[in-house]
Amino acid sequence: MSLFSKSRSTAKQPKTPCLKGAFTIDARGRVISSTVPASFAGSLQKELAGAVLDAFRDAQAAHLTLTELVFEFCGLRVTAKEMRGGAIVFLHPLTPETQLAAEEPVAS
Amino acid sequence: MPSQHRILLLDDDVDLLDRYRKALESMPTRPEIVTCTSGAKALALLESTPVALMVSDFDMPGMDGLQVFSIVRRRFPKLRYVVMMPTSDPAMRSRAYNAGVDLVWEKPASDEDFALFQSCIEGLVDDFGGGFRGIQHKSLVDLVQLECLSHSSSVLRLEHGTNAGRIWINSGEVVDAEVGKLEGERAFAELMRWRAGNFEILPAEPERQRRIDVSWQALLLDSVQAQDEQRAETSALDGENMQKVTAPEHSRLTELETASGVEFLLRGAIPLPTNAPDAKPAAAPGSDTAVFQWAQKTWGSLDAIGRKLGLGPLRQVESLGLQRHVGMSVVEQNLVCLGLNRSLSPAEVREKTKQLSSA
Repeated sequence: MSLFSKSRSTAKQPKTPCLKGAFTIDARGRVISSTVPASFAGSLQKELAGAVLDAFRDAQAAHLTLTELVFEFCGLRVTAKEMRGGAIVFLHPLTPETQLAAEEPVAS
Repeated sequence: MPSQHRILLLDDDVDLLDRYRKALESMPTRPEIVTCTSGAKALALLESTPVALMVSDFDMPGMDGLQVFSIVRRRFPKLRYVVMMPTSDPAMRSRAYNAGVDLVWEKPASDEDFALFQSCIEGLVDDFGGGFRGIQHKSLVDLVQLECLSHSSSVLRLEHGTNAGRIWINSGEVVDAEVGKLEGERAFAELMRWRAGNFEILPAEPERQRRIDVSWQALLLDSVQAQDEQRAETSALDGENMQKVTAPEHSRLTELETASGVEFLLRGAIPLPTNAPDAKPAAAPGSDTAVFQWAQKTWGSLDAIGRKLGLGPLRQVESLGLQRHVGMSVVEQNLVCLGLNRSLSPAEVREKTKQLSSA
């Protein structure tokens, strides 16, 4: 047995794409700039942008002017801020560490 | 059957219960009568069955009528309460009214007494529409208006279930309000949403620091407008697709609904991608219904994208708006939408939405 080999659990862990970064979209849903890794396919990025813009527009139609939309999946938090018809979208991966940090009470 | 027409009778004397039942069942509004022989059973029944009016005997083994009332008042602030006294003892009557009972009635002995009792109960059921005990059928708006018009200085202490708040009035001007963590105008607006409860007028505190600079007329105008909108939205609720959460259905959600800063709590089906809610008639823009329809559509599309990207199901959505904030989550396979006051901070919106997720 080699003392310097990686442990089995670490070695066999599947590599998942880490969605982290931000991108901006204009009012037509076009991605203007992005710091999101290339592993996050452009079409899916566009799809997310479309859903965010739709949410802002539909809210406006319901007389609800939104400035920010935050939605959370099991492993990712998406924060979209409205920017004159477009939006800036931040992707934050959710790991047990980040979740614990978020749940820590803030001293008042 | 609407809860306004359900009456709960509580008496340890089964024969008397039967007589009350017969008298009340023959009322023109034909209310549904439910009976209990002990306070504990009555409280258990109230947890599961909405009731508009409760008639309780005063003298009972175990919990007496006022002990039951002290629990009922906290858990069900909108429930009207009548206590039946064996004698017309003025001291006991005064004690019961001071506790906040809606009506104290001497136990009927003759048929004439029963007829009077019946018409009195009929009146209470008919006029049901909230109001603060002590000034029956008067809203909080009336109460504040009364104090301001008479240029009074006082402190109004208000109770609604387990919540309590205060409004400070000095020389006919509303100078401050406080409820929970809210203060000033936010607290005043929150207190004005209470449609029923108890109040008492405490001595004035002229040295109270002024945190409300708006005139009382403007404050009340805003409150009345908000109440009108709330009433219109409630009547426009789509019964099939969406419902207001009521106490017996989910007590933790109800707790959340009555928490400060929460404007409404609605729940309905989670939309499937093939069942987009666009096909339904659009609700009036700005109404709770319109917000809920938007919530359903948004949840559906974001959830679909999450699944497509392999991010798993959507857990919660928070939106910050200029008119109000909205939190969404899934509770017991239903989409629950929380309308939150715009004065809440993003951290408070997150906290409330988290509470919703864990309900």
